[in-house]
Amino acid sequence: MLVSFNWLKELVDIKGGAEALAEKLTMSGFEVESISKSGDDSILDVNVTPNRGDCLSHIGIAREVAAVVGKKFEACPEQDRRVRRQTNISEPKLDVEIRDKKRCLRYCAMIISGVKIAPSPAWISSRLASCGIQSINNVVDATNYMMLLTGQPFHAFDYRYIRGGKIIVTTPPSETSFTTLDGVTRKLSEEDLLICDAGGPVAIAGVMGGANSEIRGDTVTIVLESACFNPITVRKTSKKLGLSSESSKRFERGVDADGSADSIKKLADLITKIAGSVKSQDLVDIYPRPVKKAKVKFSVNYANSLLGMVIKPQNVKNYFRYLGISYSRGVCTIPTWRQDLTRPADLVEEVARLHGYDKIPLTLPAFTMSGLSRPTHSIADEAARKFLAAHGFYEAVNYGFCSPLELAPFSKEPVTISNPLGVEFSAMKTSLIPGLINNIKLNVNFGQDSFKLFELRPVFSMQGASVIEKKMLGGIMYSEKSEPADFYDVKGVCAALLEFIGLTCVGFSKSAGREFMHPNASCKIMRGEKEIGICGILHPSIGKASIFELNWEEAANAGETRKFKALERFPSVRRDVALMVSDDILSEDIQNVIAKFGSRIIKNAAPFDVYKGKGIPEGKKSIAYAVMYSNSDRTLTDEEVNKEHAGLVSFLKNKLGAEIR
Amino acid sequence: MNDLLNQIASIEADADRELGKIKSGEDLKLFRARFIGKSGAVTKLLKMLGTLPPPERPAAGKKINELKDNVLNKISEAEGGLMSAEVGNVLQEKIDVTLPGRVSAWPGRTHPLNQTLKKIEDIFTGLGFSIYEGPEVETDYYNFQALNMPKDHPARDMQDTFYINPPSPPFSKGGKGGLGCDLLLRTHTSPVQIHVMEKLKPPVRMIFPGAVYRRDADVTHSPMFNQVEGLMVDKGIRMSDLKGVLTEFVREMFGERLGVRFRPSFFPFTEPSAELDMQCVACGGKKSSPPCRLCKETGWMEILGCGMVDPNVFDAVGYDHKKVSGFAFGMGVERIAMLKLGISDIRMFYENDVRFLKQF
Repeated sequence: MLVSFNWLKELVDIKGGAEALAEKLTMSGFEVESISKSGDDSILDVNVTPNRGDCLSHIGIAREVAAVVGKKFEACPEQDRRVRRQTNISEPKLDVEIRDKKRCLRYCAMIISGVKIAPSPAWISSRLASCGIQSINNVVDATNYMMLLTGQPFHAFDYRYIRGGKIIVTTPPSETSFTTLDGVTRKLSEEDLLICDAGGPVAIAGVMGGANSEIRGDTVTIVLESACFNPITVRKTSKKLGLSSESSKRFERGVDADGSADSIKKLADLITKIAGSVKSQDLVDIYPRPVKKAKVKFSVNYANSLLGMVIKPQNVKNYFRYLGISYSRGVCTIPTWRQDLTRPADLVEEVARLHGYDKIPLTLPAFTMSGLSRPTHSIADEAARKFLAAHGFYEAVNYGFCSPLELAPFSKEPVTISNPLGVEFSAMKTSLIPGLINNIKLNVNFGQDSFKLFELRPVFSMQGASVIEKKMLGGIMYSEKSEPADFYDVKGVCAALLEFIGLTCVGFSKSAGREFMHPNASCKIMRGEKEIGICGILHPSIGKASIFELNWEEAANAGETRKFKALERFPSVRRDVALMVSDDILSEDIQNVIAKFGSRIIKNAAPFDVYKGKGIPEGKKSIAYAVMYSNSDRTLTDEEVNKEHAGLVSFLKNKLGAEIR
Repeated sequence: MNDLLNQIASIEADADRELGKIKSGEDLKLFRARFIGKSGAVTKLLKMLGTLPPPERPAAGKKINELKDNVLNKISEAEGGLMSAEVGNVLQEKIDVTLPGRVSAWPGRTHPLNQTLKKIEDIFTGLGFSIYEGPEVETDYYNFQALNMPKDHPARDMQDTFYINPPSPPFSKGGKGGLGCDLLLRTHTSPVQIHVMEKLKPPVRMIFPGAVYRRDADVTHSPMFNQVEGLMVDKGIRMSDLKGVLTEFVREMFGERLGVRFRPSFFPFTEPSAELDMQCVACGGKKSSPPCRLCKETGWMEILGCGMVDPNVFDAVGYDHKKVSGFAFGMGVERIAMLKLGISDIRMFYENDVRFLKQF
């Protein structure tokens, strides 16, 4: 809310300049975001929190200023609470009827005749301009001016267009179209509160008036409205129509029903003053159930124990007095404009605010110790981050959503957002890979030719009728040179990472079986029968990179507890064998044959070289294995090893049709 | 016996002669085998000891052992010689130490946001807070209603929300306000407070890190960002404790140099509520000269929102607000990281440009 410093000074005695005032307001809960100059005035942009609808007005802010500097606010005596219950005026005739008493708490109306529509005097239009409101004409400007002063929204109708001299506050029986002042035709339903005349709607209550009854250049007789509508009704309608106005903003945050009559009289006085010689009529005022002042229990001890300090009862009484709260015998009576004060805690804040948060001491709580708990995967998270960073990966953080198009190869039916910022942010990710592919594009554009990225965050999927979140660890390895990021690099990273976080028995099945992966250069990563991730090369139609994606909740929680195993005490002996076999025979097949050979002294056999080309016939390959022999009881002799190895070699020849090179 | 002495003398002379010929480790190995190996000359003598008449054995044994010691001494002498020759050779080598080093992989980095988050977590776990995570897709109940923001509450305007398209048949997500209610992307990590308090009895001391979403995008706002929420509930927790704990946090995060202030604010789920400001990291609270753009010449910067847990929130989770009290706070990880690292455009965090990530 834009607040004029000069205007405030007319309402309350202020010592010092705008800067000093801004500091005080900020420290009492009204953050001044900026101060700008407007002629000889300073305009404060005050951030009024949603609970303080009463401060969307200069009187409201002036009352705060008075409280902050420690005086009771005198410029505006408590509003006239007298309730007239006068429902009509005879000449010119005006009947007012509230049909929906839940949604309309009070309706005051006044007819003013002999009005001369003209531009406003400069002091009004310039003040409105400083506060961000455009000048229209003297009558409309007067309503806005008084709204900025009192916080009460007003509306002015042209009496000529109020059919039957009748105003009815009601909801439409069925869906109705209505054109508002801004020229837009809007659909209204039974939920919306309308101001109607004998022929139909003339305004949407609390939101905006209608084009059919607006003030024109030749308007002579006007009807002024000063009402109080239910905040929720106004908010619902305003939200539904996507139509927010100065009026709806104030009603949503709560307008003081007790103030409606007093402010309409002030408005009538102003119009009389600036819109020519006029005749002001009696007030129509319907206030079916006047609001009661809230009573809230309060004790100084409670405040002090919640704040952790001692504020003297006399100070507390003063603070309440400045705010218009009367406090006696442990009960606070709350003025009607402070609808936010309903519980003791609310009053503690008022006391603390005026006393100054800076006076609350700094203490550290005494507490009973208890064990620290963390998410079960947090240790693995940390280990994975460190491992991958140490192996040259950069960690990425991407949005949780992306374009459904990018996601299409990964999932056909993602969870979607009904009000996205754009279609490119409308689908919740089912995989981290599309985000990482985008990161590659950006980095390649900036000239990177080889890099590795990873990301650790949840992805979303619909399971039955609920949304499931699963934490994933995704990685991508890109290189313009094909060599350093082939299938074996990504498989190696996965195996080493899983080993590092404590998963030793991990298997890699042939082919990931995913449409977005290369069918012959990808794997499922298995732990027993359970798939815990995939790795391999992306399908070339999607991109050129190696990727992995681990189901992190499975993997991170599957680490084994490590137990000591006795060390080999006798040296092991290595024997190599190079087999020339058909290209179709996989390393895994050879491993299986070695296992089948069933030697008690073979501790390990691992391939160390695969060769195709010169010297090897077409359709064949040479694959060399290092076989380690050892015995846990004694040192093996050469003869023993040679004999066992020869047995193995002939077994391999036999079973695989291998030739020995 | 004389025969033996002669043999010893001849072996010794032999050894002396051979010793001079040792030029390499291989020579030394041969030397060792020749004299004290399994079938070496000295070993043979020792084996022969048994064939002597018993009375001669002690004297003969002594002599042979002396010989063995001599040979061993010679071996270690030769080893020493070889070693110093080798050391000399190695020291002759010259390399260009200004060439780059070699490592299997040059390290990457964890993301600056996660580095910042880790630091925040470390500070709070050091103060005795546990860590707990909640879902990013929430129900309206947990994100708003239980946090004292009923439907059509104007405070909801402070957090513009993304909603999830309902499937058919409609959602059923367990918990309060479950069936058929609006699912949304949480706008803050505060709903985790509710999950935790529904599950645990007080005392509670926890922080809740995670991603949150708001319909907002510009230089300082991202539609997704990260928050850390904190909650401490126990008997007799006071606002002064909130001030003490959070001041301690800011000091550990940013150092002692910059001042901290608490000013009144509004959050539906805390009462009283406060905003914590820290003196500007750029101008140190001096506001101007030259005019500070970071703090817009106010000298202060908002760090986090906090307050005493609202009684309505305690009511929603079944805590007795007459018996326990507590404080809650929430901060943006991006904001802290931007201030600490001097980053002015929030979007850089999500571009994942390696040139950016490399810097932290």
